[in-house]
Amino acid sequence: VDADDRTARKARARDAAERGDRAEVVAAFNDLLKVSGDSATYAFLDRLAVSAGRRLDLPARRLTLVASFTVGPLVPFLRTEFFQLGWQVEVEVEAYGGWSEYLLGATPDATDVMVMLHADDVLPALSGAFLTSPERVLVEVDSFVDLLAGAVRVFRERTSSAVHVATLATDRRELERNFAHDPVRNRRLMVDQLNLDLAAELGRIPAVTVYPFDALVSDHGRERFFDRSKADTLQAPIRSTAYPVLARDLAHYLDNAWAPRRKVVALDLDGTLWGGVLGEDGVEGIELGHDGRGKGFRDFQLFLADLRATGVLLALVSKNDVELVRAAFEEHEAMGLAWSDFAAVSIGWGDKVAGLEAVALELGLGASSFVFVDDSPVECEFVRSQLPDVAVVEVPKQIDELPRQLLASSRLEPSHLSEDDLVRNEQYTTERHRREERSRFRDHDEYLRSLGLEVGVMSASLAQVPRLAQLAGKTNQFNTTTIRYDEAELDALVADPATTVAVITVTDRFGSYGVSGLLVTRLIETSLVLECLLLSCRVLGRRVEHAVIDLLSAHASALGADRLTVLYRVSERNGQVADLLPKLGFQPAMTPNLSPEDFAAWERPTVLVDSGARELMSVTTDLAVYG
Amino acid sequence: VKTRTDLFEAVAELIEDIVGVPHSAIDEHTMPDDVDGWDSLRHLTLITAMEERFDIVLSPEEQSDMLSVELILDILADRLLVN
Repeated sequence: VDADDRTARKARARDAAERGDRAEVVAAFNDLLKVSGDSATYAFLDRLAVSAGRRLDLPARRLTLVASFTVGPLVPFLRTEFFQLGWQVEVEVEAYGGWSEYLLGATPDATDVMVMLHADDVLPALSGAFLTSPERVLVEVDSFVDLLAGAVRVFRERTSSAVHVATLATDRRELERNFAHDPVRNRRLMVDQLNLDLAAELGRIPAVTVYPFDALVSDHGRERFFDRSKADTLQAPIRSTAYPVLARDLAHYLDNAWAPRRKVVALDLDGTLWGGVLGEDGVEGIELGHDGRGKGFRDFQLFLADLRATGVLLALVSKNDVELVRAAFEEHEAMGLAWSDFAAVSIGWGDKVAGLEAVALELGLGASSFVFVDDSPVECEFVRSQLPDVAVVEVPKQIDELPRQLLASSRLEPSHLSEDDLVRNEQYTTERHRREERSRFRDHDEYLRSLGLEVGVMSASLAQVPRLAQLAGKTNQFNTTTIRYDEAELDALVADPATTVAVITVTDRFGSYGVSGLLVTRLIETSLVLECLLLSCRVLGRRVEHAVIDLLSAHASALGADRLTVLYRVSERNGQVADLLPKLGFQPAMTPNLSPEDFAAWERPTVLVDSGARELMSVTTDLAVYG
Repeated sequence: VKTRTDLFEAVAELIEDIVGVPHSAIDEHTMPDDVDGWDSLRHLTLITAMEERFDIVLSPEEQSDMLSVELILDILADRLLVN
């Protein structure tokens, strides 16, 4: 490396860090890393990253590394990578050795924790004269898994912080190839089994995820990843040249765990899902097949099918003829995706920004949920400039690199698969059918009647609390007070005889929407006070909110109340609640002392007001109502 | 790297990057204890950085002898400069 060139790039990085916006700083950092990615360079960048992160006011996180080895040297690499991904992270290190004591002695102010244990440190029998008594290792593995899972469980009970646990790897590999397939004489296979056991145990604890460290080590190669002499002299088993690789992978993993997951990949067609131009080359002429570059495109489609199976929605945004595109999907034998795999489609001759906006509207998702993939640098730049929240990925020259690039820059990976992830595609497909159905009706109420809506409003049980807390945590649009109840608070409310917590479920003839809402009421003097009503956006536009409010009026009257009072707290996203209340006959309350300061109270009498919505659906409840 | 001066310049740059003190504050007589922030972790990173930059592996004895800039230069000169 030319020292003057490095000095010049360092000066540009320093300049950008002092004055530039984030994209400029990241570009200047990458420019330096291209010619020099060693420990000294990262130490230099780390200092710039810390000050630039503060200056740019990036979202802040705290993380404690708890390791069985000297992990301090990783920190500058890690902070630099975090900065590149848009975070400023305060990293603390727990001295090696005391990992179980640290977890078991956690105090409530503990930060999120990354646990990194090296098999050669924590399993002495495995790293000793292993073949003389392999059964000793089996016992050791069991008690290690118990100890670690137990310590993590204690940590989780005492704190509200997340725990990320790295899988283990071993660098001991002498004689191993002689027993490549012998599960009790091959260390690597034993560690693989340990990792499976560990993941199964940890999977039962909430807010604990498993970081696949062993997969990174095997991708990179143990010989290149570990350094036996540094392990022996400095308790630092990771080779210094592997720090950038580890830091990038780990930062990427935590970025996916911390940031909201993106939900949609919006795809261009020509040059992205196949080579060539469909309109000119025809269905049989496009580049898509079982060998050469055509296989690269087919593999990308198959990769997208896998991504879809993890809950990501696929959409098409293309300048093309829609009938021809449909024919291509139906007729070309090498397609990896089917026409019906797309949750929304915008194909026509309008611009890409308008196309993305149409798809976003159709799916009811914001720009920050989207990743856009296109082979045209012009289109990419246009989308980047108009919709800065959309992640834009330009198709690389080597199409085989596209899946990795897509994952590297777009927060599409789940740290674990939730139930929502697994049913999301089905829900949106059903929703597409509902929309098509709706266009057949001129009158909205007539359409609602045709849906055969069944609404349940049932007292909540303790078993439903985790799901309700999840709903309270993420519902923004129809949420009267946006109180983020956690599980403990909901447990207490369910147990409190003075409050009613009810679960709202919605079903129609296309299927169930599942648990779709939550309400919390309390009788105060002669008023039934609705402390919170929230409905998932999936069930909005069906007058369910009208029916629920009418039902609550009837319930209030059965309890002897003469008024229904709705508390309202404005948030950035819940404007529709404010619009709805006057429409349903609510007026600002005369008795404002019912509510905390930043809550407005709206009330209406319990008799003589009814929206009529309940006649359009069947409403079942176990709350007291007359008649 | 051809002369002891070249070596000093290269090492001073590494110390500047890792410890965060300006190049001008470092001379042959500087010891880790004289410099704010030159702690054991950064010393470890410095040793690693020298191995990477000069493409050598330092023995445990060499590492533990590197107690000042002068001693660092002595050891590196032995390994890197043709007498």
